[in-house]
Amino acid sequence: MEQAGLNLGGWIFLVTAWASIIGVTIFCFKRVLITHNRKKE
Amino acid sequence: MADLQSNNREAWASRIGLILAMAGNAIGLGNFLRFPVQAAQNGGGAFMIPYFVALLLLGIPLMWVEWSIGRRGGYFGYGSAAGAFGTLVKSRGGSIFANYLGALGIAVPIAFAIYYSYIESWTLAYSTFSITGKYFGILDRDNMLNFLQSFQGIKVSEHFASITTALIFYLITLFLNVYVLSRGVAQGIERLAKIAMPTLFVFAIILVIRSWTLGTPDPAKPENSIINGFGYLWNPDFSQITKAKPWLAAAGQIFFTLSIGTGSILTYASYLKRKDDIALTGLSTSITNEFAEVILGGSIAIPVAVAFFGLAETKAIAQGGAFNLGFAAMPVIFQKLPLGHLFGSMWFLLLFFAGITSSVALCSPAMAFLQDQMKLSRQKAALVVGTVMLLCGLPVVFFLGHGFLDEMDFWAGTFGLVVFAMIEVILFAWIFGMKRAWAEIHEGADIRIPGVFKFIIQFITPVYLIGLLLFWGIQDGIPVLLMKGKDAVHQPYLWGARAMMLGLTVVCVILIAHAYKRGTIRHETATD
Repeated sequence: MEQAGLNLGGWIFLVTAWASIIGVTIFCFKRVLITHNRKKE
Repeated sequence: MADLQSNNREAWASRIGLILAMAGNAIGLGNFLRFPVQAAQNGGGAFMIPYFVALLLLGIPLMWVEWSIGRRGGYFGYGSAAGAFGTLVKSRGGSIFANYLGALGIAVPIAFAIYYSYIESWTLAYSTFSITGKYFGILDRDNMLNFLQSFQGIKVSEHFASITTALIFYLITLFLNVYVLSRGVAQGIERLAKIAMPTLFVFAIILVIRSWTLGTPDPAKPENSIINGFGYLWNPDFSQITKAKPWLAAAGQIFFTLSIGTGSILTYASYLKRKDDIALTGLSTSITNEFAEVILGGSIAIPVAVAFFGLAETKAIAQGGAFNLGFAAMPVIFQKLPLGHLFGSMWFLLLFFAGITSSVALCSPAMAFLQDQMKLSRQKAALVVGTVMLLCGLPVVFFLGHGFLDEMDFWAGTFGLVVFAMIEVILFAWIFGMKRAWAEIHEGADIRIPGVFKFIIQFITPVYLIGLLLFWGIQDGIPVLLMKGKDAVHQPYLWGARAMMLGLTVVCVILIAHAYKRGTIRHETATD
């Protein structure tokens, strides 16, 4: 049973899922830091 | 944030500590073992469609609901659903009824913790076995499965003469859980999360890098490669998602991974202050969990299994379930890697950290109830919880081969979560009222949640949950209830598991009645 690596669909799903998770993670923690610093001031 | 709330309840010491503790609550064995198996079995990349739909329509809305109920309950001095639910209902009778329903928010997580901590103890044991090389020399999966079963006392082999080793690791795990709980929120749970979570992420990243750089471990078998492993996990099979199975599996995975419906989020949120943000913090913990699950969890076990065993055998491993992957396949792989002792130990320690941060969370509703409503000291409450876990955990240890653990997993760890989540969302969105619920979520919020979630929480999430319960009830619930296909030899043990869970719920109901008598649960809405 062979499989030729990741096909186009696989890449699309992998990149979309990873990018959306990383994007939201950055958004959240950036906002956490901003609000944290604002409250400190 | 300070260590005490205005009503003298404990509180989180810092926001990062809270995020790590909540993430620790969510990140568990499911992220690294259950998710890749579910994805591989249910359409690969295409599984991500029902998975993200369930995340957006069930996971994230329910997470905000549970955070909101918890913070509101904490404001009135309640740390569990028994008390917190009552604050959502105007009428006195309704409030009392809601609080009695809250018994599920203590009994379900403690039942969950009872069997979960036993599985957690296997990871601690296997971490030690990796360092000492106890399983080294067993180079095929079947014999590794025999090793696991003899460790669990199901079979006798040359590796373990009795169940004693498993029992010792179980007692150590139980002790560690009780110790953390006895130290309290800031000094125990938060401190554990601050150590365990960064360590878990460092270990996971090291293992992901090792996985990515494996290439083709055996040049004679070029099809056994890491890229084919990613292909197996991610290449979409759209024919799968036209069936009901992946949608149910995705919803189950979202429940399991985000610790929704366990009541533990509610308890952790009860240690917040009235004006502390929950919208952004809740989202941050959920996305941290998704990072650990999809990016890290999806990059280790299954791709590595394909690289070493090939596609056909990995499919068989995945069909065998998460334990087969984690405890039978992975130890064989570590023996084929340079520094296998180290990577093996890292893998199982990672699972242990993921497990312990979740199990202490599962115990926290019972801890909070004993402290807030029964007025026990933290240490005494931890001792009571530890004793209950030990007494109820011993049948799980000794009757594992009879399906005792699986029975608890179905009723407490699967069915119970959905029922409890449904009660939460109906109480919050329909009884408390969506207008007030929306304002409650946004109290002190650092972000504005898109308005569409108001509609989702009120209509889509409850309908989704009812659909899930109906499907599960018909497909799995009735056959499990009737013990279809279960050997008559095992049936008394399964009844025993049910009786134990029912007994835990009845005890919680009696304790709630006692709390009413003592006046530690009151009718609160008038003071809102």
